[in-house]
Amino acid sequence: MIAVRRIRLQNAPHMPMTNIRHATVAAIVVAEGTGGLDATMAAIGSQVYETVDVVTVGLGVQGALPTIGDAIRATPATTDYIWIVRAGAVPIPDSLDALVRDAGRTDAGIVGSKVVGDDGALLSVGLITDVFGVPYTGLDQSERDQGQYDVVRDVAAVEGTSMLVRRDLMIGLDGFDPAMSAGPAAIDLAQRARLKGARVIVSPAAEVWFPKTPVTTPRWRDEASRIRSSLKVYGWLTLAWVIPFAFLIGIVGVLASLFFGRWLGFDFARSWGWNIAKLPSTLRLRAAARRNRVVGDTELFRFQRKGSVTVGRLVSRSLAGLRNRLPGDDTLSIESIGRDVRQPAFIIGILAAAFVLLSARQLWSKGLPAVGYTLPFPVSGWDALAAYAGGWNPAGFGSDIAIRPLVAIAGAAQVLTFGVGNVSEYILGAGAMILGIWGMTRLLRTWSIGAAPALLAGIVYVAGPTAQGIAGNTHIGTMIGLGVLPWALRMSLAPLRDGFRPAAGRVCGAIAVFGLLGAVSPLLILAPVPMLVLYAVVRVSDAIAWRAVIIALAGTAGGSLLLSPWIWDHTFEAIARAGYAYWNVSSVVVGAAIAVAIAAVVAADRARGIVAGWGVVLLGSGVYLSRSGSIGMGTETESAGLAIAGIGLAVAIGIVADVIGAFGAVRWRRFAAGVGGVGVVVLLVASSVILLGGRIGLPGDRFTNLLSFTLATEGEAERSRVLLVGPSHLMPGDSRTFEGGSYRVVSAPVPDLGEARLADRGDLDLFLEERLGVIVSGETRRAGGELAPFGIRWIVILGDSDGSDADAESLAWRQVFAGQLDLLPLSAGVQEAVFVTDIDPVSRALTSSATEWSRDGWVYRGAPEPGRVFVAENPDPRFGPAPWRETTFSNEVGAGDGVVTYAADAAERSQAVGAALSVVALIGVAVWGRRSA
Amino acid sequence: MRRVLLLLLAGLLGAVGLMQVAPPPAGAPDFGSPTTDDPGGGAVASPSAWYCPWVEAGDIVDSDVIVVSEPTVDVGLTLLHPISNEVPEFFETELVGPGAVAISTGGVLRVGESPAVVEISNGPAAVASMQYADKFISADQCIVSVPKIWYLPGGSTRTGTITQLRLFNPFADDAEVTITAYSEFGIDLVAELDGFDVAGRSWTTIDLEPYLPFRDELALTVTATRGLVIPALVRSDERGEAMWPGTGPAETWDFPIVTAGGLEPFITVMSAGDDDIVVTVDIITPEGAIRNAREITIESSVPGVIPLADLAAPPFGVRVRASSPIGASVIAVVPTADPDEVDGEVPPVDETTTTLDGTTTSVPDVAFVTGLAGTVGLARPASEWFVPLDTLPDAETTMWILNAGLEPVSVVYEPLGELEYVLGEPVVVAAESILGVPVEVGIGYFGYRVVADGPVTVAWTIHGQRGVALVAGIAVQ
Repeated sequence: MIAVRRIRLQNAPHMPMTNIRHATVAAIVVAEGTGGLDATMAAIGSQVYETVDVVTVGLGVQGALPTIGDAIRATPATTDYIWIVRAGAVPIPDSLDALVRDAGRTDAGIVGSKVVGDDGALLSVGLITDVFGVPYTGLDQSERDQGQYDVVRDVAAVEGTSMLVRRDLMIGLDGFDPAMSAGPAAIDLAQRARLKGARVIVSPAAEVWFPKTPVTTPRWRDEASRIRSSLKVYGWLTLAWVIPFAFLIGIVGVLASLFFGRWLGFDFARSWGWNIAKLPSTLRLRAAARRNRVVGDTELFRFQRKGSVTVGRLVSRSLAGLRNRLPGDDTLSIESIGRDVRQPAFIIGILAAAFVLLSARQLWSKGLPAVGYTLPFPVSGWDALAAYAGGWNPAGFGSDIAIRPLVAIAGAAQVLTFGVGNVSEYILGAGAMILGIWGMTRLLRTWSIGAAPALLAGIVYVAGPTAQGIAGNTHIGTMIGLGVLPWALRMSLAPLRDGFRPAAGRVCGAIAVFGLLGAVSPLLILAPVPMLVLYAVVRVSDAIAWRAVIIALAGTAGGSLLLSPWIWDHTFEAIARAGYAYWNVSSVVVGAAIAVAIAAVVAADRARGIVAGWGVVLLGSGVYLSRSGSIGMGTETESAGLAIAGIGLAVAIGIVADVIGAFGAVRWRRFAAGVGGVGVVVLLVASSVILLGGRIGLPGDRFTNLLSFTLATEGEAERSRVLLVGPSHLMPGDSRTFEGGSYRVVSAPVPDLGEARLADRGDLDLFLEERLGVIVSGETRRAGGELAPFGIRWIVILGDSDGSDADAESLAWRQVFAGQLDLLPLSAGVQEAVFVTDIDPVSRALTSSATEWSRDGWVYRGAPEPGRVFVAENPDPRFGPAPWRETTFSNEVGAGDGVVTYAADAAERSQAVGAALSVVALIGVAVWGRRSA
Repeated sequence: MRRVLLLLLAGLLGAVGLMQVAPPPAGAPDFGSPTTDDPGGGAVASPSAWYCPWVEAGDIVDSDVIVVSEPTVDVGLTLLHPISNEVPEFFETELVGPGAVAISTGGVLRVGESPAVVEISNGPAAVASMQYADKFISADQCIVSVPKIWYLPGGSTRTGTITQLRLFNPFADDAEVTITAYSEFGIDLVAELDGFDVAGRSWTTIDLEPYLPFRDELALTVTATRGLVIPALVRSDERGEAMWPGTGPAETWDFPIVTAGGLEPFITVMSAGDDDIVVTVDIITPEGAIRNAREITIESSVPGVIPLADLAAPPFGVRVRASSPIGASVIAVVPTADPDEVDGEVPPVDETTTTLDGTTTSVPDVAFVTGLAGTVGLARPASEWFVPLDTLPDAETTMWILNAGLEPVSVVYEPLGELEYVLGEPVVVAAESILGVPVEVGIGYFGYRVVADGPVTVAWTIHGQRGVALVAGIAVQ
């Protein structure tokens, strides 16, 4: 018997499948309306290797088929190869011969030509891509063709300008993806062909001349196509890191685009949105692409470049820009530096970006500090979104009162960044700073203030004393709001072309921006209208100012509706009056601000002097609001007042700095501006303080390390709560008071942003107060047993509770818990006095068989069992599975499913979904209107 | 002009803002203090926790924790484990009120020393503990209130006498205490006892002899600088052992009985202030009082010892009056032997007890007096008392009622136990006299509730072959 073994040699050049002497080729010419069709047809006609058929593809071309797919199907079935040539390309006469010869010789499935520009510059000798599908030719600009790359070699992909594809392969791959743009579609075809085992090579002898033409494909479409291609060809394991990295690189590109030409934010959003919309078809095509594959992702990686081409280009561009800006032999002069300062300043922009990156460095490595109202974002973004949309508010013992929109934004950020590391916190924290600086430059452009002064103003705005005051209050929402507020003003004040479309776009954009402003900081949504009314009053004859008021009114009203369902459960007054507004400001800062304010009003010309006057009134009003605790205003009012003061101060700084740099200003005005300039310098120095911490001005983390002891025993943190007692200013977020002492209950190991704001007391809260009364009065010495039903395992005394300089409140609380019999002090690895109960079991969710369930995200889960599970949350009949029963002021539900569910309020969920869809629609209309402008 | 106006407006707003005042500093919450100046504490009509620092159940010694209560209550007994990190043993029972129960701690945990905490779900109720062995007995009330400074007079480290200080911290938090010693040499500074740590839910026993040897008179103050501790002083010699808890200071102390078992009583006092204090002792016998029987002046840094044996024939009680607050305790020791007597032997004592029916009974003469007793005084007379007590088959238990007033007082005492008992007939305690009420042994009496129509103080004694114990009663507040 003779054994026959079938061997497949992927790179076997001497085993042609087709007899090249009899290989038949059909040409498809792709006409995109750019001309050159006749020249191409003539060049094809003069090939020494004749084609059996020529089919033209392109809309608007007589006799042409509409798509390449149609053209492929129109070629004779007996055809061996399809030669795809882009209209305008002029192959030399033996191009096709070289293509067919090399295809047969190397057994390649796809063969590309060497593409040379009409000026003799090399355009392509095959493509290398990075893992994200971004092409890289490796050629210098205007590199001449001197035969330096004339070798047949495998490449990742070939240009669609001229490519020979085996027809059976093309049919098997179902041709090009019609949803993709041309360049990425060619790469996608090559990738899919390689998955099936086909070789992709370039044939330098098949030379094609092609005129350099500007790119006409929208940038977002190329990016979207690359994402789609990745989704189609890579395995899940590769996708798990490729997609998040592609997203991050996109974000980096968006941020960098602030400094390099056109802003790419909309392109970024559109490319990802397009892919989300196309996901079903992508998955379908993915299945086809990976079915019967003969190689894995590793084979694709062989022909890819390490790293990201996009990032590499950004770095090269940045370095080139910086190099150009650095003084050289012929530009080292004060004059050249002064010119930079007066012009839209690249260097100051770079410095501003560096300032932000340094100011936010700790956010990248450690995330937001857990201190006060600034708490880490929820681990599960979907849980946060579900909670906002009519779900269970997890703060304290929970509530059905809608959670703050900021939590939903944090959740959305987590979802969009796949919960990777601290990326979402970094993006919102650092992004708000960049947005604030950028927004301030745009706002000040309203009054023709140059980019350099505006950047300085922006830096003081996002990092100066007012911003530090907000950071000191740990109001992360208002800090993010600092990034949005200038845009809200700019949206109202910016010039607007006549017509319905621009107006509709502007109003819709304003509503979206105001909605975002209110979402991150509710009180700030109320700020632009009075600010702009004041502006209109001081510029009473300025129609634009009054139009701005109208836009702001529409923005406020519409933006407020976007805060549904949260806005229906809360009042602005309650938010404004919570706490005590008192901004503790240093006299140096006051002196500097006064100098800047007076200088801005005095030194500027009449028109901008009035704008400066408006700014300093905002400054004064903000300062008053920030210290208005004596009239009943609270800390969020303080932060909102500081944001207003920050806007006013930044306007004044921008004007002063602009006057200093202006030519031709009257001497005394320049002198006055110089005095103000000293104030600006002082404020800039004060702003630089936040560089030290690297937390965008926020105080250091307080609770991550403080509560890390809860992780000592595996699983306890997920099952238990921590009772924090001590001074209210040391608490994470809101706190409650009992007989003059503050306390609150938080999740372990560290409360997240969803727990910052407490709702009104529920039945379980009242029950806890009752039990605290029993403990405090000394009626029981078993606090552990009293607190166990609430899932409280640990008690932490915040503040110094020991020694002669102990805080009186901390000491009082410590004495309460020090005298208990079923608590144990923790001494190892704790920063404050900590007591742990020796009651067992203690759990937030405990089954009738005493099995402890854990909190996974914001949901309780455990081993299913036939009994019941007691859930220590405020009682709510929406908890399930049924039947629900109220037991000891908490919930009792079925344990059979292994999970505790909460049925969202349908009306609130509808409102939240409606608000989200409205935001999308508003942005769409805004973009539509902006494009017309 | 517009610019000027805007500048002025801004200046006005800013100035008003800068003139605003800071929030008032947050005050400390009013949770009440875990400590008290009340020198005695008492039984109150609410849940309570009682701390018994000296409880022991092993192969030689047994202990009873005696609980009396007016209402029906749940009684939780927690015995700390002498081994570190061992979970305390918990025993719970229901006490039908009014009633009393004696819980043998050996039945709950028999590992030697194990201080106890007794939690009672309602009140008024009171707790005492008694330790006993074949040749040993000691008892005293448990502690319910925690003074800021504890006073513990009555110690001694003279040759043959051992004094130990037990610091019991049943609570969650670690405690740090400063122990100040006073002796006939004045204030004794001991660096090791300054800033002494007692871990939460533990106890420590300090033998004072290594630190303060050869002190005839030794008194201590224990001040908690952090956390809380319950101290007790234990004095022992070859004849027996006595234990008494710390107290707060007071200007008047009543000791309804200071003589039992033929022991020789002394009052030990220590100043709670910085000045010299005049201390006056009134002797109150069943027949009447001897006012100002003895008066001494003590220095603030030197404890005083007032011998009583020569002032009256037993039995008698004592009222101690001082010009400033003092700490006081009674210590009763075997009378000093004559040089020509055989060591350890003393003549039989003719001890009699006056009972409520006026008859006089004699304790059988014993050839060898054993025992060492001590207890704290009662700072305030009251009209209602709980007397948690215990009996042993071979010992006499007697309740003593002292009326230091100038008017006779009608007293009703109700026996308490696990059964229902008949309320006794009222008896009259004459003015300035004491009355002894013998307790029947073996019928289940574990306490008395004493109600009088005037202020009295109450204590109880137990004495026999095992030794002698003097125990103060607990006022109902």
